[in-house]
Amino acid sequence: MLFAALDGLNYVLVIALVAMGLVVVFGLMNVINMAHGELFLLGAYTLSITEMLGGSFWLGLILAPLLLAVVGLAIEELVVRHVYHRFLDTILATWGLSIAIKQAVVLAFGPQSRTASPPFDFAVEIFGAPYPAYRLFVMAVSVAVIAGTFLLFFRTRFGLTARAVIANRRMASCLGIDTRRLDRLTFAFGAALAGLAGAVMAPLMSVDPQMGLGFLVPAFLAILVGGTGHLAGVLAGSVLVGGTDTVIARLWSPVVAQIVVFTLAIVVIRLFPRGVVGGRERR
Amino acid sequence: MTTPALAIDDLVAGYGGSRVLDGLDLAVAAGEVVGLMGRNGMGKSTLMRAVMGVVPRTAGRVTVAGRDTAGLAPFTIARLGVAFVPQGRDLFADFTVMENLELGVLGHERPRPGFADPVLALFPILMERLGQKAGTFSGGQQQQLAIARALVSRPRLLLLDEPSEGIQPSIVAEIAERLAAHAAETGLAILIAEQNLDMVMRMAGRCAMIENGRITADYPMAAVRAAPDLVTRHLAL
Amino acid sequence: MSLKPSTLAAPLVFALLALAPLVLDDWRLGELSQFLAYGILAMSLALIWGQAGLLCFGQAVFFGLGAYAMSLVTLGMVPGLTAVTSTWAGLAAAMAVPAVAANVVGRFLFYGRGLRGAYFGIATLAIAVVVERLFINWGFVGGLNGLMNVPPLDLGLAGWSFELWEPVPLYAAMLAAAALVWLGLEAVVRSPFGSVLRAISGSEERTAAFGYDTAGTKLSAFTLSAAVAGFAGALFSAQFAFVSPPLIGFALSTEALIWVAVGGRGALIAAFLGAILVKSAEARLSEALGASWLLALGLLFVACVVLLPRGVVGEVLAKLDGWWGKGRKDG
Repeated sequence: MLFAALDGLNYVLVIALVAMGLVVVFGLMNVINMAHGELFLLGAYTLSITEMLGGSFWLGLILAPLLLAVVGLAIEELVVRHVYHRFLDTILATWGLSIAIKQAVVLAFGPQSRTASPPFDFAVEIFGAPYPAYRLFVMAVSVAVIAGTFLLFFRTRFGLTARAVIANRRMASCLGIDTRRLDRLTFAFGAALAGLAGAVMAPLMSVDPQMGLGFLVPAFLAILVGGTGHLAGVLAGSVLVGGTDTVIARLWSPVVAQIVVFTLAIVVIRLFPRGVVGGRERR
Repeated sequence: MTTPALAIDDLVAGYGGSRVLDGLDLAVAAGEVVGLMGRNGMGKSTLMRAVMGVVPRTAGRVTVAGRDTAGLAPFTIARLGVAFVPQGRDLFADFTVMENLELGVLGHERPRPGFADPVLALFPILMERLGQKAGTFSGGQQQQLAIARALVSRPRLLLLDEPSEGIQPSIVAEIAERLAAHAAETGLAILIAEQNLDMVMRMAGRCAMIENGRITADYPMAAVRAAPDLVTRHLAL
Repeated sequence: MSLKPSTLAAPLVFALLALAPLVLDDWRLGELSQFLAYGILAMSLALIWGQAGLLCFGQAVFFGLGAYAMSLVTLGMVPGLTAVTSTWAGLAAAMAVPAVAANVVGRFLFYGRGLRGAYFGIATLAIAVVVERLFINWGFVGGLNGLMNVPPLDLGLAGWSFELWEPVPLYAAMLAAAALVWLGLEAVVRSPFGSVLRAISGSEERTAAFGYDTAGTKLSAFTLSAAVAGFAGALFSAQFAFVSPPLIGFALSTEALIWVAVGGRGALIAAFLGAILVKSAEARLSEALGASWLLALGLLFVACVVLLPRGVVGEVLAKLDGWWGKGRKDG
């Protein structure tokens, strides 16, 4: 029972980690990045391939966000920048990118699944029973990244500038704030978060070209359920989506869990368009 | 003749290809305060926004201290030394006074300690409320904060759009006199779009009349003081 | 009505398609028949996306519901109605089931505060994922294996039977169905109802402010679109003789979005051609290109969205209209 709760917490934190990158990009740039799942995928592959080439887990864990930041910059420059003013088209363009990235991965590394090894595979005793230490490490990374993102946005001058752009993009620009640079940095940051999430999750799951979608939809639902106006909404949404999923999966089955969670999420989004935490309404 | 802080030649601009501004010429010299007066819909706000690069320009030239601003993004124009206080002020309501002031300078340089002291001296009421949220302020306090936020970057040109709107007359007079003194002292050029003749008379050295997107008259303030109906008949319907 | 090249495009397309039996062998013709069903699906999506601005990530749900409804009826699997197995009953069910489903979902999503834009898109994406999983795990409809031996279309009535086995009659029936759908939807697009849809796409608030029932209008369009998609699914399953969960989910929904984006969301005929051109290219190129085909298709999709929002066919039609208009003015 305790381990079920820990696994549930693990799932919640990973959804929050994936959703954090999404909500930063959505909040700041009003761009829905449907390729976020594939950036997660690229992060996992970066780790797996680094290990295959003889590099350590830690090297892969550092390389993944760096590489993905560069990928994010390229995507922003080549695609997203051109469709800022056509909101629905940002969804389609990034959706197309997700197909292309997934397929490029299949071409480069084959459709089969790969593995990644954790840096340590011992277990720690929790209340007298062993629990994998790496899972605790994943939770620690998630908490650290989420806390770091909060600090970045609420305690730094970069964060102040970013929040000003969210509040009133035109006025921020009139004050001399380089909104273009901020857009580039934001997208790169969101991509780096996805890459880090993918890398840290890789040892726990099958690393294959389809792994992105499994996290994309729950992460989106978490954001919409929680509300897009606050970073805190991401946490609330992740707890609701991830927690419900874990409980139902344990009581019935993972299939029932997914069906119930997705359906409930749509109902909640419909009833609380601003999310359960509240905040601005976005279209 | 020295280079004017702002020079506008034959400017055509508007939303979606319309010609709200239709061949407008205007210049503001360093240290000069120019009032821009006209009825609603004549293009005052559009002129401010076109100078700022927010409204697309279709023809003509706008130079700031001699530099052509064609095709520049608003933040680049701001960095040439143009500060803008829009109609409605557009403060960051959920942010504190200090955060609003920091945002005025962050786009230009890293804020040094004490960066806000000169403007706080100009508007002492802000001093006691640095930690208060801007959205909780009265109209007059908000206007002072908006002007202070524009001034912390030490601009060469200040664009004020309807600053007296919704503010009680005694405070309008106070703001006008302080700004006029500040401009004279620092060489700041101010272009102020107004319907309130009192505020313009207190601040400006010249009064330009805008009608259907063009400047149709340009009076020295002495002439307006002698015969206010020069201006008021333009404003009447 | 002014006679522009784009007005002539649809009749010309259908006339050319009518000549296909003269040049294509039986196998190719059968393939093209299936693509016509995809073309109808594309038109159903273009109706809500291109006209009303409803970006639906789950259009294949309605296609799949139609395919399953058709199969269950014609296989005699509907409890209590096992004797009713005619194609006509199947088609009726294939349009009614998705229409009811869309109406229920739409009633929930559009009214009150309503979901719009991206929220609607993500809700439909989640619905597509859920429905696909539901069908994979539903034993009655065959689970992952689906339903086999779905009978072919039978145009017979009242005891007479006219089964469409042969490629040419089957193709003719499919083409007639596609042309009828185009005609019907084009009439909707050109009607005052179509104008309201486009107004909603421009600004829902403004349209509502003029006194239009925007939620009701969207609901009608969504329901109609679902019925048409179900009709396409029914035609597809009857000629494919087989339905399975990939027909109802998320991958086919995405494909439909690609066809419409590449062809052109603004004109029904452009979306229709988009489906046929993309599927034809896939049939020719996927063997030679292998996995690169999907990569190329993804990149083509991105390029169309970014550079050609009107789609390839839509752009060509718009250019032709432009030249035509200029030529007439100059002459």
